[in-house]
Amino acid sequence: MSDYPDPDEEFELMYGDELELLREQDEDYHPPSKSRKSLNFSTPSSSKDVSRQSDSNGQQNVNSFDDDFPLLLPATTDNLQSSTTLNVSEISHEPHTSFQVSSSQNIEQIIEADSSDSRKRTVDDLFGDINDLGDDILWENEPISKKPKLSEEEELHVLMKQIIRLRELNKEKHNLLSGINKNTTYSHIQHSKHNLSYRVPKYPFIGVKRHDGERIYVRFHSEEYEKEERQTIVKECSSKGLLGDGYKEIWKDAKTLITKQIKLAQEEIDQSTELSFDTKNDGSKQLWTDMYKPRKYIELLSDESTNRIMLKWLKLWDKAVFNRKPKVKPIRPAEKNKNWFFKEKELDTNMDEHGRPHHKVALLCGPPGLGKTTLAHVAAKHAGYNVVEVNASDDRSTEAFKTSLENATQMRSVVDKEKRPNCLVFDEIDGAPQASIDFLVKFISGNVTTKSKKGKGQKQAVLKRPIICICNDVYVPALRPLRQIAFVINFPPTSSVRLSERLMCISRREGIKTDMGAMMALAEKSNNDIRSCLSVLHFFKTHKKPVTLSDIYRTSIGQKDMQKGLFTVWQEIFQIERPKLRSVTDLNNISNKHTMQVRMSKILQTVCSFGDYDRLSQGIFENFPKLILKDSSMQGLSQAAEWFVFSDVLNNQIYSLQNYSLSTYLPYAFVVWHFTFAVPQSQKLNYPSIGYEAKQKETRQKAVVSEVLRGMPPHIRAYCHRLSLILDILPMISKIIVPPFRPVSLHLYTKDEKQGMLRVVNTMIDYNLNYVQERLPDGVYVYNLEPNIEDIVHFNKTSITKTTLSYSNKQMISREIELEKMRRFEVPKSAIETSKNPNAMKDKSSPKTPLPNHLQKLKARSVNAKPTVRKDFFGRVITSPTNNSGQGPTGPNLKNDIWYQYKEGYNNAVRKTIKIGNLK
Amino acid sequence: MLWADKYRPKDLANLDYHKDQAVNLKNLVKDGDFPHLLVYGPLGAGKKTRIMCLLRELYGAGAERLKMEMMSFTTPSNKKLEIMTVSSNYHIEVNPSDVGIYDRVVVMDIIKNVAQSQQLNSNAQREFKVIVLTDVDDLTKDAQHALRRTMEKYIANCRIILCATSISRVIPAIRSRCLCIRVPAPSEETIINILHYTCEKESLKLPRGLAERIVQVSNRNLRRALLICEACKVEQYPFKEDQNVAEPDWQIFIKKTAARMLQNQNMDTLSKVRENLYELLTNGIPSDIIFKTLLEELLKNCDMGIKSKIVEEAAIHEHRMAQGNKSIFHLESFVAKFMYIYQEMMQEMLGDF
Repeated sequence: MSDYPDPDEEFELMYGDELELLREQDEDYHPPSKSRKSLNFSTPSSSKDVSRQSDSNGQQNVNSFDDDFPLLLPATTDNLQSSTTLNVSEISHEPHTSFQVSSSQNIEQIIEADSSDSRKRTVDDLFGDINDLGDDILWENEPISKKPKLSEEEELHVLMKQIIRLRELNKEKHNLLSGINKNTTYSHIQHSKHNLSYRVPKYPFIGVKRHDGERIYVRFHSEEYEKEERQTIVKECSSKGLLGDGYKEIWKDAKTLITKQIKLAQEEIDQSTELSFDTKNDGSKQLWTDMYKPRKYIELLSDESTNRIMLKWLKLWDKAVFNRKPKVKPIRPAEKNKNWFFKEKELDTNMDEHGRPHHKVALLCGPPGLGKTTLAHVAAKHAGYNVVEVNASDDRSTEAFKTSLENATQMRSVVDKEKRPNCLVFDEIDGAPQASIDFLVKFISGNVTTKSKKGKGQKQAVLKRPIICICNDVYVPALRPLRQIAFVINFPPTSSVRLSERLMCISRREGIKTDMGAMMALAEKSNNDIRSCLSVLHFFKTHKKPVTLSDIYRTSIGQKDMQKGLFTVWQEIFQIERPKLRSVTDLNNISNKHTMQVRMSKILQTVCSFGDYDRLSQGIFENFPKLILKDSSMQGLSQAAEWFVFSDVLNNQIYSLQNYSLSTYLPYAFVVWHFTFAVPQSQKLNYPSIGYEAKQKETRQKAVVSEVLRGMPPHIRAYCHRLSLILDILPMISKIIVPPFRPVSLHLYTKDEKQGMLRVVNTMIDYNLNYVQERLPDGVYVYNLEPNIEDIVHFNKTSITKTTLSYSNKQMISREIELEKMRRFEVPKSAIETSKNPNAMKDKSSPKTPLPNHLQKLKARSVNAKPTVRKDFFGRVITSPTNNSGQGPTGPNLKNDIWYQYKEGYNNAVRKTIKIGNLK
Repeated sequence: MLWADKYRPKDLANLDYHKDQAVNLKNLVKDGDFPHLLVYGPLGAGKKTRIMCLLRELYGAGAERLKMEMMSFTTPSNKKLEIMTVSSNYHIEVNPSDVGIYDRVVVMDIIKNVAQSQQLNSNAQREFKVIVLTDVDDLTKDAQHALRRTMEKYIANCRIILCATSISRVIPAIRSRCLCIRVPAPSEETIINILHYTCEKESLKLPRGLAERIVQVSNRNLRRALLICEACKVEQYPFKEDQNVAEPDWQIFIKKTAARMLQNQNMDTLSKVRENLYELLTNGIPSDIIFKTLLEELLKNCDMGIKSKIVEEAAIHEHRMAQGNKSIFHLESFVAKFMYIYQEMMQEMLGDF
């Protein structure tokens, strides 16, 4: 406004009447100008240039300019170079274009346009280009198919721009001001154009010389005309904002106009939707959740950063999915080039990665009704995929899972005219059987290994499609393997403001009269569960009454039995909620007198809806000693402890007798704990693991005792049972088997010491104990008891100084035990032998102890030979004693047919026959 | 071999104590027939010894030729169970509670197995076999109910000897079907005598004072007394009157826990005590024994005024523990209760001053 061109105004003031005429003429030109819209941007020029250009364009145009304007028509059609006509056509077209421009530009531009003079218009002209582009962007859903061609940065950039623009467009939808104001700018152009001329004009004129020497003819008006004109100009100027009052007035007018229009439009919509809704009710009976499902990315209600991350992850797949070799997936040629380019780049940098993101699966998790499924669908669609959904309603056995996986990832729909790659969405995967999830994990990771083996070029069963898994509870045991390889996206709750805005919008469309407050309350009540909010709204619709805040509070519908997380419940029990934080449930009875009651009912409700009392109580039991408690006196603690007892007894009754009616009483214990433990501040809680660890340790110890029991010889076993073993025998044995041995060789032991050693060995064998050599991490070898009863026997490991044997002693004992076991093993054999030939019974007293088989054979021969030989020999000796003395040593050898001695080893320096039995 | 095993009497006539009971048993067997028996008594009183002596009396030395066997059973739900049995030609001994909640299957199957194989040569030995079931008080109610009918049904072919520490958890139906034989713990004097006798055999000299102290620690458990005695010998010989008497670690541990409870009554102690209790439980010390030992230790340091109160609480808690499942809750509840009562008493006393 400030740089309003003064000369122009002056001309206008002077030649107002001529302007009128010209305006009329211009109006006639509307039709032809429209046909030439395409030429608009060929000469981006301002109206100021008009006369100059026409001058430079040559003689032929002079005539046409000076002649009546209708004559211009043939000229423009003949000669497109005619700038004047072009300008005219442009000008006439102006109101139309500017509206479009403003609709796609942001507010600043619109305001500029509002107050623009002729010079400003160039900007508008320049934006004519963008206009078309804007048109394209406006209907962004359709051209999605070509989106993926762009590189991801470009894509994102454009996308963000689009989102911004579209959001603004929504705001400015009904802003028609620009269109109105444009008319005024148009009139200025007319002024300057038809009151000046380089040629001698037909109207009365005054010749003026410009600074550069050109002669310009200025139109001459009568005084009356001038006066009149001045008034109109003043009027117009005020409307343009030169005078504040006028501008404000116009603004007000415009506003009323806009509101009127909005109202009109809305009524129209209301009518139309009501109609369409009625028909829908008759026909397809669509749920509102389906009807108002977001179909575009910008319509998503869920948290923007989550959406963005999801989309980013999907975009990471672009290289793998859209840049594959063209023969594998024919894409339009334009894209092909691009893809080749990218492909080359990708092959250079990370071909082993196949251009796939590090995480092959995205795992969306969060409570129901936040729009996880919707996000997956919309994002996948937005990224240019065809969504294939598998959910709980489908067969999810391993076999079916396999087929659907392979179908979705390796094939493509032929029937669809849009040849989009698939994106697999596994909905409600937390309910799928373990085997299926294991298969999925194998499918994702297992193929990765085969890929590297086969090489880059081959196309095979490498997962080349994104997979999105959706679950409510990410900590389901079956999901554990998946969780480790997946890109886990935790779904934050939707902002209640955005949700209520959307609800507002929907209720407006559905013709429900309500206000923002009610919608906010509804959103809060359902904990921002979109689905449940919509259902409640749907329900209210049937009332055909305005929905108010109190309605929302009063009705008990729309309130879910919410399953809160384990830690949330614990936190709730250990923490007193600040009373100012009123929730829907306790709005009615919020008074100090009833706080206890409220707290109690709140805890009851939370605990009941969680359900897993066992885990809850265990968590409380293990957490409370570490926390700051409100009441840490012994009275409170003993009271709380008694409730643990109560809940345990009750639990046992319930589970052993299947008397589930008793479980009604279980939640009350939590109320007591809440009252005894809860403090206002938040506490740090841990997952209860002590109970579990204790249980595991117990089974381990049990196994040790069982091991001891298993190896006992029957005559000990018969008198010994588990309990006495644990309580009496093992603790004492651990002391008995460690007599103070001297750390010297066994041969150097005194008889008493040997006896002691023998006793230890025997005891250890009786109770199936032994020392086993083990290698510690630091390379030291130690002998440990096996089974290791030390752990069971010793408590408070640090304080007790246990006497242990030295390494060498343990080694010795260990060897002795093995030997003794061998001996014992032979005892039954010898017993059998002795029973077989009663003659040998007499020899029992002799040192002929049974030996292992290989030794026994040798011995048996020599021993058997001796007596027989001797006897015979002695018999004869009696008759011939001389013979005896001479042949004594050689006799037995000669007696046998064959005699040999087998010597083993390299060294026969000192060789001594030792019997196993003598090794004691 | 441990002394406890080495000097175990093998014959009813050689038993060291409860001789009149031994005579009765001998007479019972002499008739050639006897009813089902339910032998019960505290640990280390000699139940098993008596049972084995009885079997020897019945079948002769053959009953001592024992072998161990793994028997397998299949539950109705097709779960395979394995259980270790100790058996001779004449009897079989099994501890059904080894298989936990499936003990019913074991009880039924084993009785049927034994009972169905009838003795062909009836004049050679007895016409019945003996089944020894140990830890009957740990049997589930199911198993006990299964037992009571089978017991009667197969009485022609088998006798059942039940062995338990306490009959309070044996259902009355079984108690009434058996001849209940209580084997009380030997008196302290008896144990001292036996210790002396054993040491004599080992040609050791045991001072009277040490023997008395050993008996005190052993809690009238003969097995424990013998083991402690042996441990003492290993530790130091020749014996001295004031020698350190080895005590089982768990007992010391419980004593320490009790001392801690008496020292301080607050949250810290409670959580420390809980740790200790967990350790005891994980090491397989039965909760009722923990309970009992703990109570005994606590009572030693209690005023007469609160003793009755504490004992009452202990009784209530132990009863509840039998009904419950997680003994740690019950133990801790008792601990908290005790600390509360004790603290109050202390405060009252302080108030008086």
